[in-house]
Amino acid sequence: MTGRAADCDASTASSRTHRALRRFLTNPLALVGTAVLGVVTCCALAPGVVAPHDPEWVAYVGTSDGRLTLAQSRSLPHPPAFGDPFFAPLGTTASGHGVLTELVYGARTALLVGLAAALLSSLVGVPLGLCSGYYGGWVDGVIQRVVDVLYGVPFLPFVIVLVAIRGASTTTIVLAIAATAWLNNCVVVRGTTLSIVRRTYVDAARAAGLPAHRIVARHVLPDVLPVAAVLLVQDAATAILAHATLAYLGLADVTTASWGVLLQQAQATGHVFDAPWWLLPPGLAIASLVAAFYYVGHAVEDVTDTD
Amino acid sequence: MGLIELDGVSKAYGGERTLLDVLRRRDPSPVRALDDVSLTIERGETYGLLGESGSGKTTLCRLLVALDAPSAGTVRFDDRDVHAHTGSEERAFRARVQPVFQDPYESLNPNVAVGQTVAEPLVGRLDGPARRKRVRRVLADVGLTPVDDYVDARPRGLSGGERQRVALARALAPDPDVIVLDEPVSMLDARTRATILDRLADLQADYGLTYVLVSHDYRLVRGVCDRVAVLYRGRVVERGPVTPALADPRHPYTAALRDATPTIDPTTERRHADVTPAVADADDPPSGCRFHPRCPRVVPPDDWTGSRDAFRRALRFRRRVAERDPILDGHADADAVLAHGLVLDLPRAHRTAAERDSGGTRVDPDDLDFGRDERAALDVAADAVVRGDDEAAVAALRGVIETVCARDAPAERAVDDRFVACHDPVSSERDS
Amino acid sequence: MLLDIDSLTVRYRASGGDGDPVRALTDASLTIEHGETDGLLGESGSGKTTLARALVGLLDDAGEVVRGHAWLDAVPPAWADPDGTPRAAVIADDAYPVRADGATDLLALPDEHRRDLRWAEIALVPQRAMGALDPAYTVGAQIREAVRRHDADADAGRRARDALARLGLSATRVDHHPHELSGGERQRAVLAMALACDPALIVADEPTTGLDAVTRDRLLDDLASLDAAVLLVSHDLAALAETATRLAVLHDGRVVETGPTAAVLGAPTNPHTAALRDAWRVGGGAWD
Repeated sequence: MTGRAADCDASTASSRTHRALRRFLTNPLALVGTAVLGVVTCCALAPGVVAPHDPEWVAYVGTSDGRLTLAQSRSLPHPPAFGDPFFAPLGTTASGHGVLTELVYGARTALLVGLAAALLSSLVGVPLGLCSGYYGGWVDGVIQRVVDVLYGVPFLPFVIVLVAIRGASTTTIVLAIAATAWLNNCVVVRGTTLSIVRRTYVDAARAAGLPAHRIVARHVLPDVLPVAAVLLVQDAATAILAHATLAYLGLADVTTASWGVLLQQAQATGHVFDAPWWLLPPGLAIASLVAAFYYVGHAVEDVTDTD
Repeated sequence: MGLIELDGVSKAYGGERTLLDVLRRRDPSPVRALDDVSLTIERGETYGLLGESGSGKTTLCRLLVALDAPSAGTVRFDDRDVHAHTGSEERAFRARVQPVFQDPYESLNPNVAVGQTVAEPLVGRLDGPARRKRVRRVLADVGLTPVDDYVDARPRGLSGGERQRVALARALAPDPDVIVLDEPVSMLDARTRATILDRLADLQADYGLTYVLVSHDYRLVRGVCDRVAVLYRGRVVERGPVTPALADPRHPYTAALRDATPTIDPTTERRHADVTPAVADADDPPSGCRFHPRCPRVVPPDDWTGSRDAFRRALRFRRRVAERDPILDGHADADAVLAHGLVLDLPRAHRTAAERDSGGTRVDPDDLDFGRDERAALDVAADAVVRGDDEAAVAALRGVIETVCARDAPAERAVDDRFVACHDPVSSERDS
Repeated sequence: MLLDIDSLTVRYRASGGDGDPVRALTDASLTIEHGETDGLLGESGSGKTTLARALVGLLDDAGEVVRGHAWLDAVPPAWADPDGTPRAAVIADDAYPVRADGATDLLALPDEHRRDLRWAEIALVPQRAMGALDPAYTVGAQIREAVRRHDADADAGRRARDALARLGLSATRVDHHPHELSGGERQRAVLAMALACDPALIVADEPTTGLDAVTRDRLLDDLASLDAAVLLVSHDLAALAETATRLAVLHDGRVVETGPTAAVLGAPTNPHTAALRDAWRVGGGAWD
């Protein structure tokens, strides 16, 4: 047992981060997930660069105001074409829009919904969980009763009611998802907080007169933040899936390009079974993005857990 | 006016009714961790709180540093009720009374640098440069030198002794009046223990500190403290100056601790404690004196004509009957029932001959000194047990095998320069 | 002589495979006579638990016996006649780790034979034994199981009850689960488990840790009163002083001193022993 403390500084905060980063980068699933997220982010940030066409592009007539002949209309939705009669590597929808174009422009909505819902959910759930765990007593009692009641609210009927009141918009969807997702955040963070708050060094900090917010910042948050980060990532995945599902059910904003809307249109126009180039890409995109979030989240959990 | 005064302090846990209790139609019995504790600690002394696990000493520690509030009674520091402090009074209090905890591996946050940890009590009291200076000073005072090697280090690489010094430095940082030490050396090896204790003694002199030393270690308390309060299951059984109280105790539990504590001198004849070991019924403390089921001096009724030892065994028998102890089952006759039912789990030195011969399983009831009526009652009860009639057995002993020790909790009285809570204190060194 | 440990050397491979192996025990030798209560004194890290576990073959995977012998005055049943004497063929053949006087080298035994001797002849009561009890079974069931595993013909129930009584535990404990017993009672129950198998030697590793004063007092009293030989391994100087007849002091993997307890503590020849004794004195003030 060494008495030379200077020799034992191997575990400073920054080297912990370095070790964590290295572990993350050697995890193959994490790399795959990060790559997918990277691609989707590029699409979201610069869709004009990635997509083959503008969102107004229509098959045969391009961006001009022309009208389609009957024969041309009947050929829609058109399977993938690579130049003849137009360039649409993933084919077109029934209204002649390029599937790939729609896919790229839909990435923005997917990411926005995912991140917005996840952030909102964390912003509500994490502080409430911290308060619940740290203060205990009636504060915990009240918060947990609210959580218990809200847990009983079924997601879909809730969204339907909300849509009926506020109309189908992306904001409404984000609010609805966040309103149900924060519960899990709150409960998990409360659990982590409770286990930390019992520790002797927290007692010592209290006895030293350290105010509550400083105790939380110094002793609780460092262990809670990794947990919250993992929850955030998982919430994003769930939100994207939920939004896609709602869009498919017709509860989302159909004027905004999104993958779920793409699916819904395929179903609404009756082309579910005869236009796989229309149905599969958005489905795969959703699945890939959700999986990517999960892989990354899982890797973050692994990496912070062993510390 | 003592620096710290405890007056009738009690602390109970778990008295709230839950849904389960409502369904079962009963009131939950709370665990009384502390029951009516009163004592005074003077400035500058080292006051010992001697108690084993379950005695309430940890709870008392927490109350002294205001980490918990009592259920009843008051804790006063410098003539102010600690748990009635306003915000600023509480801040001031915390700078004056600081804890050092038992486990040096749990009391420091492993991810926070030593200097930061030690500076915690100074946050908001001193500014940055003054804080740093103070931290370096106390680190040097506790012997963690060269200070530069420790200030930025994480606890991970430090030994138990070094960590405990860090904890001590943290307690010293705000220049307190009192340090409450909860088993400060129990997790350290022998040599580290010695150096830490030396350091504590030096610091007390240099800083003018008052120590409250909470420990289960009889030798430590006796060697280091000026005055002591001995705790048993939440109550103070004896308190006073340390040498009279611990070397020449008046309470049977204190005497048992003394007798059970070894010396390393193999030539002295060891007295083993004439006391039965504790059993697992911590949630159901007996009424009256909490020590009486184990006590060698349990008080017989006024009309008891037999010996006290016989009474003690009879009382044990009565409890076995009431609990339907299987040790009484399956015997052919009353004598066998008594032979097993009157046994006490004592060290060899205090056993009867029959107990020793049978490996602690049987006594000879005829060898015990019972009055005629008393023995008759026991025989009736034993017969009832053989018949399987438990109610009759209990009834036969009622009124005959009774003790004030089970009915009334003994009040504290002044005896020979200390205070004792016992119905029949030991009267001198010889009579224990 | 019941147990003769000769130049036992144990090392641990450092975890991760890198770095030099750590020598946990170096040339440790000590002897134990039948029925004697002997002590092995050492601080944490001195190698005492390693020694205890090496004897019964319970070193963890990283540990290996480099050299040394541990001659136990007993023979695995497979190599003995019904009355216990080793078969002549076994003694004559060098391939068997059995000496002419019938002692077996525990360290050279194949696992199955060592298991036969374990509990039947030599029993280890490990540190924190209270945690060694299975919470799912009653105390009695566990003791009976231990007895039956090593002596199928024994009256396991009676042995269990007798062992418990021997250690001052009420017969009621037979039907209780471990969580219903206090810490001290659990420690005694584990000792009862060892006792019920009626071994010639009980190795008790830190049996008094975590016990209150009175229970500790009782436990040591009981250990001293057993017919079996006891090797009491502990850092608790006082426990050894009052219970052990002979004392060996372990420091940094080496036996630095042995002898009668009174001599070793009264007039230590080795500075480490003296340091331990002096530290013990200081740790409680100078009044004794």
